[in-house]
Amino acid sequence: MIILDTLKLALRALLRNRMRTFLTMLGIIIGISSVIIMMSLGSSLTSVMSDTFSSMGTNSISVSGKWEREGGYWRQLHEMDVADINALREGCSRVALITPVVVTSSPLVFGNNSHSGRIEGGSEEHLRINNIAVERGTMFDSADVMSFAKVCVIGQTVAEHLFTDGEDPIGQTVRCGNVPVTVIGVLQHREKKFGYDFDDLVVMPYTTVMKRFTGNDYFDYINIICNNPADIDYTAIEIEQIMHITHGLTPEEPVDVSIDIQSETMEQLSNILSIVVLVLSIIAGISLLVGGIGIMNIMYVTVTERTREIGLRKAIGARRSNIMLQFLTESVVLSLTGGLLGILFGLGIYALAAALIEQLPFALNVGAILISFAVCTAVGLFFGWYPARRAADLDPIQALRYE
Amino acid sequence: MNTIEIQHLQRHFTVGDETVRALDDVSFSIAPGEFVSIMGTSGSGKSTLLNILGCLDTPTSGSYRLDGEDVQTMDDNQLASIRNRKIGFVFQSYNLLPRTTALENVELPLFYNRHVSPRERTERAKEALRLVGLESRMQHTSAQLSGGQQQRVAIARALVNDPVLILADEATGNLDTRTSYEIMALFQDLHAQGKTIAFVTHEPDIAAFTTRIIRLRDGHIVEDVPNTPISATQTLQAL
Repeated sequence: MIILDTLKLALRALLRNRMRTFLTMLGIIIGISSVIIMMSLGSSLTSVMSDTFSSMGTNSISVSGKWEREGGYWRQLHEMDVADINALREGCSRVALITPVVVTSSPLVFGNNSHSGRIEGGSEEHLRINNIAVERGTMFDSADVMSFAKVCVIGQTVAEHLFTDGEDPIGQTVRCGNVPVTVIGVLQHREKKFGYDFDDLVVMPYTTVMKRFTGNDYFDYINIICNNPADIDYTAIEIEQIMHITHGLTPEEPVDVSIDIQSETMEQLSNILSIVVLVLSIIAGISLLVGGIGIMNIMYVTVTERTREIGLRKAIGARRSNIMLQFLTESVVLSLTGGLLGILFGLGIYALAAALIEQLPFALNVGAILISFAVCTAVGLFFGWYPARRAADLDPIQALRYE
Repeated sequence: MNTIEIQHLQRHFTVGDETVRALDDVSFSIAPGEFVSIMGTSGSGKSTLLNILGCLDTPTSGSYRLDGEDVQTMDDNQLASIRNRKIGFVFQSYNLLPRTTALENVELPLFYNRHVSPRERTERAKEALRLVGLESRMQHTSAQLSGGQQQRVAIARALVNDPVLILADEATGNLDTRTSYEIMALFQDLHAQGKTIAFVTHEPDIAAFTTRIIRLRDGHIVEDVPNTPISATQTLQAL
């Protein structure tokens, strides 16, 4: 018997009991849509996370003053300053770079255009540390930092908002608050992540930001870079000891700074993610199992209902393998159709979620779809096997007499 | 060469610790073109004989040769294949597939014959339906056909693979007298065209339409006589 005929036969048998077929497929539909949602969610979150963190660098440590809640207000226990930088430069033994970061915001004006931008004040190494490249122009150098130079490097969003007439931003002077600042470079475009626009950024020497904008003599945080990622944990301990001593804390007092290791944060996040994926996998596994048992049950019912048909088919020349193939095809078609609906349903839910949550990118996970089809075929074969074998093993004489 | 040659055929069943001799040393042969009725009461062994003749069952001992092939040594697949190529079954309860058209029902045996293309399948099924006078009912499902028409579809299904033997099992058992005679008239037509038919029945008035009567009792052949058949068509007209 030709494959196409078998397939037609299976479809017809399944369409004969539409409601029953649909209810049987429900378990598979739920299972497969969980697989799809889980894998899409997992892969897009993982890619977002690793992109975000690789742009921050995994061998960096950031040190900032600890925040504490006090009488309904948040208060910073310590403000990082030049003394901290000097202490760390002196005390840390395995460190390549120590650089301060100041963050503020200010309106930017060029001609009739204005834009409110995030301003990061850093050293001449700021872009290198954060893995950002300059597309055109140059980054400021150490001389600019030393001389409080009024220069900046801008992201593409800022450039688009300020220079609407196609002017070359390089060399233009924009008003940043009350300060005229010369644009010396434009940053390379970076993809949005979690709805966050990395291109909405102005980078200036931290000295300029502190003197002209914040007016403070402290930094928001200090970035510490190790050349060798293996030195990170050691350095973190060193930093804690140095801060403890230089801030004059007693041994009983906890240190007043937060020491954040990027790779550790990433590890924690991916741990949470893998728990989510595990829970969804268990749901998917259980519903696929239940769905498979449902298929098995309904296939047994079908075989019993069609005992006479099976008897007749054998009497007129169907071999054991023909009957086996007929019922296996039916169970595989059943689970594959369920799988297809599950894929559509899962993608629908995921697309809806991606549309509602701006931070969640929608990505078609081809691997998940292929795996779903494979799993469905396996479920159909596995749970259809025994009913099909029972059908194939029927004695035609008995089956023809079955009432 | 005879269509059927049976020699010293035995078929024993073990029920509990007792051996039932359903068929005990049965020998006969059927030549091509014969229209034989196999008669007997229930328990006479005629169903067992039918199953063996139809290659659904194999004998405990003795030999069964169908169209020159030794059946008693065949395995399941060979039996399926010989049923498919050499035998056409007609059952008492028609055994048509529900919600399936007459044409598709008749095509069914050819599904299991690899050498028949889909196009040839349909052509041969149409031809078989013409032969039983149902060319106008090809697209009707079983539910839309009368009992007599359903049995005609079943006969067309038995003819479609051009078998060496048509095996009918109480084929008129579910039909009223008039329709039974119509079906017998059809069988007589087929016989006239040279088909070999073995007709299992317990009704003497049905056996009267055949050319030879084999009577079974307790697993033995008690009578095997030629018969001058009466014409089913004339009997119908007399009704």
